Amino acid sequence: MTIKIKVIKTEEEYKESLKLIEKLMRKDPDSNSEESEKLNLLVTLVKDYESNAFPDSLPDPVDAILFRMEQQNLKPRDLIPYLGSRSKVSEILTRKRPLTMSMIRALEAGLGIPAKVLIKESDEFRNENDIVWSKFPLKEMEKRGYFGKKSLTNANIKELMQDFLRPVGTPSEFMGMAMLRKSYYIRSLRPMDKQALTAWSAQIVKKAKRISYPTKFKSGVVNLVFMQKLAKLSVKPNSPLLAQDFLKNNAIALVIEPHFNKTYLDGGVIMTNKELPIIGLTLRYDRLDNFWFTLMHELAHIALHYDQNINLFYDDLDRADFNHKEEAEADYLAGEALVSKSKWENSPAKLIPSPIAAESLARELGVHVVIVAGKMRHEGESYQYLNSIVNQEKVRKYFPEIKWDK
Amino acid sequence: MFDSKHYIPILKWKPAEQQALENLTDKEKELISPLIQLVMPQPKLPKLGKIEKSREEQLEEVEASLKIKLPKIPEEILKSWGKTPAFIDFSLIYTDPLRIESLNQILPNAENLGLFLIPVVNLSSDIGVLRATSILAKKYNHGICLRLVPADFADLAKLYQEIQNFLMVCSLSEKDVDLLIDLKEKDYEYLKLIALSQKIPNLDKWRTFIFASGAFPIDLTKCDIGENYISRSDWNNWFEQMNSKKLQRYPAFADYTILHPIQKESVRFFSPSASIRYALKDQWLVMRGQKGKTVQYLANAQLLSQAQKFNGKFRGAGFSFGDNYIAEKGKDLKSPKTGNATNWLTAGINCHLTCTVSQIANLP
Repeated sequence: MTIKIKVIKTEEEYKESLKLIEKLMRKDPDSNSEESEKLNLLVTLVKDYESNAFPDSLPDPVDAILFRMEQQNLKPRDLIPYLGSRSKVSEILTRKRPLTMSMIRALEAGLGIPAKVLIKESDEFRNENDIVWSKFPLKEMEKRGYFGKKSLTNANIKELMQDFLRPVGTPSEFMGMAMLRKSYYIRSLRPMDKQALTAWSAQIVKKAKRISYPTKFKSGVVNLVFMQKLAKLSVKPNSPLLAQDFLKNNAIALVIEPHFNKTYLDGGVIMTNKELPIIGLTLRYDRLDNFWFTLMHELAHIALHYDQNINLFYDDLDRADFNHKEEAEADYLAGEALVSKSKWENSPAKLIPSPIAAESLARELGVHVVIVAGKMRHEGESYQYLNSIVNQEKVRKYFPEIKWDK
Repeated sequence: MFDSKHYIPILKWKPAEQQALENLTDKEKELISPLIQLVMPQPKLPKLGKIEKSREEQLEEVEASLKIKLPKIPEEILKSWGKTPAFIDFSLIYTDPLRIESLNQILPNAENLGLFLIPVVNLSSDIGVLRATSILAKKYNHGICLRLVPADFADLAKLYQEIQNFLMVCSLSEKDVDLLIDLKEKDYEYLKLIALSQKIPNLDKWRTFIFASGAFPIDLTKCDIGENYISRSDWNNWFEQMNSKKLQRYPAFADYTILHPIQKESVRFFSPSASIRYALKDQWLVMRGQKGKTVQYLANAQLLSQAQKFNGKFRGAGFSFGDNYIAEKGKDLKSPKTGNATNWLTAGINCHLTCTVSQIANLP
């Protein structure tokens, strides 16, 4: 096969090159062969064209693999035939090792992930020198006091950001932790701004580190009983603060930090430090029912997913996530802790969206009525019900040190 | 026949009302004389694809339908109420000839069955109706009931004259006549009307003296889903007067139970809300549900009978048929037998009747 290889300048040439790559891949040439060299060259040219023409249009290759694993309910060990060994699978999924051409070929053939996705470089956070610092929500960070007394005016943005991130690690370390090297999951139907998420994550870690904890976190301490006990605090007048204290006494950080634009974040949990799981809540909705459900959802991740593949969860809880096992599990456990299925199924609250039905079940469960009302609104798929109840209990007022948007 | 410690519920003769009466105990019935308000049957819905009948045709249809029903009414009354005194009002029958025909059919048949029915007339009744009524009243010697409404009190001199004319036309004296003053929904005129009623000539001589009004709203649109309280101002007004020590003659209590006095006929295709109406001492508790969601009857029943909040308000399953119905329905939220609007109206009316009788029985 005679193939003329040249720099790709047009979309037509790009498509033609992709076809050629596919053809060569199907032939599976020896690594030292001329065809293999041509293949490598073509891939380089395609990558070069893609990075200029549509840099953000393709997903991250590891994200694509994780997505396919989720779709096909695959475990990491199921990738061994394509990637070579258990350790290689682990390194690829944690972004410690790049994909080789033979891996790309195997993944395309075996799992149907397009080569053009797999050959894409991982995103900019991989290399600190590639980070575009201006993409961070700098003005908002400054407004929130993330940079202390330093101002953006006349400042070296890179230095400012490095200073901001320093307490939680070097920029590449922390950003790698947040976005690359550790496995993470973002639950949202909307795209979330990764720079904003990183800034938010760094801030909650910094805040969590400032708290002193009377003990070290013990794996296994968070379970349904623990969560139900915590939920019963909801009836107290200042329950968000009591919850914060209760968790602190169990070496779990509960940090409140508003979300950034384009993140739609309700909360997240960072489980990278095995001695201190950190829950961050944004109080995006200033409602007690949201506070409690989000808190329970993040705690459920600690109860169920601590020390497993994914150790960062970012949650936009506006919609259910039926596709992701961990999210469904966390939703279920959070629901059980607040309003157990058995009680719910046999309660008038399931049938009639009335305040008295909410009040009655709340009293039976020993939780705040807004929690039951929130459940009723959610299950009834109508957010008009019981507005007077759920809107009466605000949460942000307990955190006056934060400058909340009006 | 009875004094002020007696209860006259005004009930349209429909299935829910009949069943509510039927499920009272004999002891409860002793303190009650219902006023049965006969109503016209509803025209049938046109069959699919058929044009609706004209008004004239519908009138003919319901008249024919009533005529078919008339012979059965005394038996229905016997079954639901029994042989103790009850009032019967024909004024909602559409035409005077039909009213007279109804009187002439029902009262003799009732007499044959041993019923004690007292026909009700008002000052604006057609002379033919008055005559027919008075003839039967005299024949069966059960007396007659004169029902006055607020408009009758606009001119007192005229009112007194019309009362005299009425007695003369019927050849009756006050001792044969039960005097019912019916405010209907005009509860706000209670004090004015009760004061005027005290000026009616020979007030002490009338066989009985009854004051009626209805405070239940025409519908539940002002109620929220869930728990609502509506003042039983009809009862509260009467109770206040009973304790006033100011009246020359104290009236017996009459009301429209848990229905509005001027209740509209059912609207076609109307799906009622799954609500429970429950009489308390001086309020009604309305557990409002949503339209068409009959399973919410069960939810409301469970809340009313089991929720801690209603301890002390719900009187318990043993109190009445209606209370028992609520308690039983509240036991199983998954039951397919939710009960329909008629069943729940029956329970609500029965609870109201029992509650009111109990209140009257316990008056000092």
